[in-house]
Amino acid sequence: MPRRTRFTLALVAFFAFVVMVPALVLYASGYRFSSVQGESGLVPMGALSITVPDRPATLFVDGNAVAEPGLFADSFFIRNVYPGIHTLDIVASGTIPWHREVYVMPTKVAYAFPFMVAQEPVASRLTTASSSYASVSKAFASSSPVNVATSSVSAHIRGDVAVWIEDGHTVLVEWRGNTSEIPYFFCSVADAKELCLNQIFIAIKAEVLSVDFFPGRDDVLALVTNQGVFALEVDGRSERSLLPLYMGKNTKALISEGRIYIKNMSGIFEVAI
Amino acid sequence: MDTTELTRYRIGRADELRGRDKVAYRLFEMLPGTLAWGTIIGAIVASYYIPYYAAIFIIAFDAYWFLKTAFLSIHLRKNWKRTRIALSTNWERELAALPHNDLYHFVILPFYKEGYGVIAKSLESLVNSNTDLTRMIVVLAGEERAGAYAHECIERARSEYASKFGYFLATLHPDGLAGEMAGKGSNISYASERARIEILDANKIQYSNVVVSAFDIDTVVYPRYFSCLSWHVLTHPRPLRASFQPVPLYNNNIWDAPALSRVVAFSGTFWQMVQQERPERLATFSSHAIVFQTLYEVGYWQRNMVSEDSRIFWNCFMHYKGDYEVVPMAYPVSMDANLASSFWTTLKNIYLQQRRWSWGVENVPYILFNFLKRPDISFKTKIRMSWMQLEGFWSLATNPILIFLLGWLPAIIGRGGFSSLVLAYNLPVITRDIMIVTMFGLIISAYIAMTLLPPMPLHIPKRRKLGMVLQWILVPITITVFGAFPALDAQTRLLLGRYMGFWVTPKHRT
Repeated sequence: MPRRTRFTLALVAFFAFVVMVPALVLYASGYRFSSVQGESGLVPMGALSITVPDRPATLFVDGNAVAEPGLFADSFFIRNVYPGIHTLDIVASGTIPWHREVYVMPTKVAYAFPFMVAQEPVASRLTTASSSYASVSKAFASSSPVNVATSSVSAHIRGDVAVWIEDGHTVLVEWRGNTSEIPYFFCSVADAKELCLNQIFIAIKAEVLSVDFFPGRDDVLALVTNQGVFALEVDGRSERSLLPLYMGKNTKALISEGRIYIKNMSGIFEVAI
Repeated sequence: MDTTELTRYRIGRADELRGRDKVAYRLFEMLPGTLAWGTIIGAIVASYYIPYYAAIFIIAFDAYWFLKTAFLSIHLRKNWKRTRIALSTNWERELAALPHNDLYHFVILPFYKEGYGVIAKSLESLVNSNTDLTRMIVVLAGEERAGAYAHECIERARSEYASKFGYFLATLHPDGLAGEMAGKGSNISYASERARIEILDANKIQYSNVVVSAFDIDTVVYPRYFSCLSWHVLTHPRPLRASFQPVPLYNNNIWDAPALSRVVAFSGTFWQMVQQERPERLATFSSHAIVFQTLYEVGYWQRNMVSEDSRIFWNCFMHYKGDYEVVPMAYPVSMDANLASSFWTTLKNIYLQQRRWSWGVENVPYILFNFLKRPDISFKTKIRMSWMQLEGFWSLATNPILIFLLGWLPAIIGRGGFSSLVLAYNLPVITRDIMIVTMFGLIISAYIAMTLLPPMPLHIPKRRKLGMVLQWILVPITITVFGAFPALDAQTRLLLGRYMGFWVTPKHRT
């Protein structure tokens, strides 16, 4: 091939490179040509990542149904979402519908990890035939069966997240990891700016007797109050869900090996989660 | 103690030098491996600490890879057209107009323990050439360390073929000569010197009238190879300042070789075809030709290193102060694709052969060191050549790894909130999509490969034809496992001073 032809080809490739790279970087960062309020231009879009633990479930974004996740995936990832507030609703058969308002920032991903509980929580009696009965009843029988986590020192810790009861009606959740890696549930958006705090104080009307992480989650707490056992989402981007797992007074709770057990006057129960 | 000019041309490795020269050469040996590992480690570290910038680099690299592939594909297509034309050209007729009757073809066939069938097939192809065999000098160069087997092969070849050529010489390269490494370079240099004395001088044949074709033992020539070579030599304005490079095909056993081996073989061919369209980047490779006068002046091939095929070009380049080139012939010769008795042995042999070829990186310190010592080569040439060599070996060892393995890293290990950026999610998608588009270029490769295939032997099932097309989806594996990894292996060895010896690729025919 003549050298001149090769030089021309190289020059074309060079200019194509100069044009392609910024275009690809902008595209990959979420920029799209779009019309907003009659004005056309390059809009920095955001995205939504929603992990749905219960399937089949239907996700609604701003009231519009989004297809269910695939057979092997448990996440919705929605690209090209306009920046701003969006409502998320998840409906799954037999569970309490989940609702949240999230603020999607330009070029950023807004996360949601919905926590869904059964509409009618079930607690089954633990019988002596159960393999875990002996260890659970022994734990409940001890003088302090549950670490109630009443201070920073005795806090329950999962990864870099710690939780304890600050006072009888306040639970404190603390991020102890690197500030740059703070999870989304410590953050909220105000005046289109993301604000992340490494401590979240959550006020509870009922008296909190003990607190722990919900099995398998660091963003959901299991609260034992004087009215029963509840699951509480730490994510405070809109009103927090406080969902009943078991209602009843004079209850003790124990979280062990990914299960929640309660003990009341009538016996020991395992809560279905 | 400084190195003499003569020594500089023949350096094999750093420990052959002394003092500051040794230090400089050693540093140059370490350079390619340092660049390759620096890139890979740098990409991993950047993906962790500065994932945003690493992601931008990867996107830019994806674009570069795409455009480079397109750019090279155009070169490949152009050379394929030239090769097709060359194959259909009546070179004897072209040659008729040129004064070619003084020209001799000197063919060296070095062998070690390859089967006699391999030797016979190569000799048979010489016999079937459309050239005057009375002006052909055939040198069968065996190795003494192969023992009685070498003697048997030589005697059998002598009895079956010697009378068919104008001149036939069989040599046995003595084992353990001082300053030599056991391998092709030392063998063919020894054989050439023997042939010079016993044939050229004895018959008063002018060195400048002899064109040496240095082949591998499995090199099978197409009937018009020598006519084509003669034409290129005779029409070149300064044939003593040039080597002549055919296109290496691996067609001898291509229908019997497994898909991985075929893809690696064709990838090697395609790379050489691309280089044929960029002669300023072309160095001699495997089977090549050179006028004996030039070969004699530079002292034959180097005897103390592995990559004598490419080094001979650099020997000449340095000897003639940069006034030397490789002429792309765009005409093929055929050799064996890797094939062993079992699939796994074949894979192992592919890897080892690729590593040996990648050991051509040993030319980098040689080039840089000689450039350092040579004020009579222009600075521009030094920069251009150094860049081409370093970029070439760097690309070979790192690009597939960057593309196929590291493209996802920032999204996986990036810290500092990178995972909450849309960019983190789109990066793997963009990388994947660009790769898919780039892979469409393989359709061109598949088509070109099909046109270069020899007729399918009767014992091969017809479905193999489909395999010849589908095999190209293996490219991401072959360029990584049998491209980047052996290259990185070779560069790491050079970096650490663990020098490689000559590994003879076993030849196996079904």
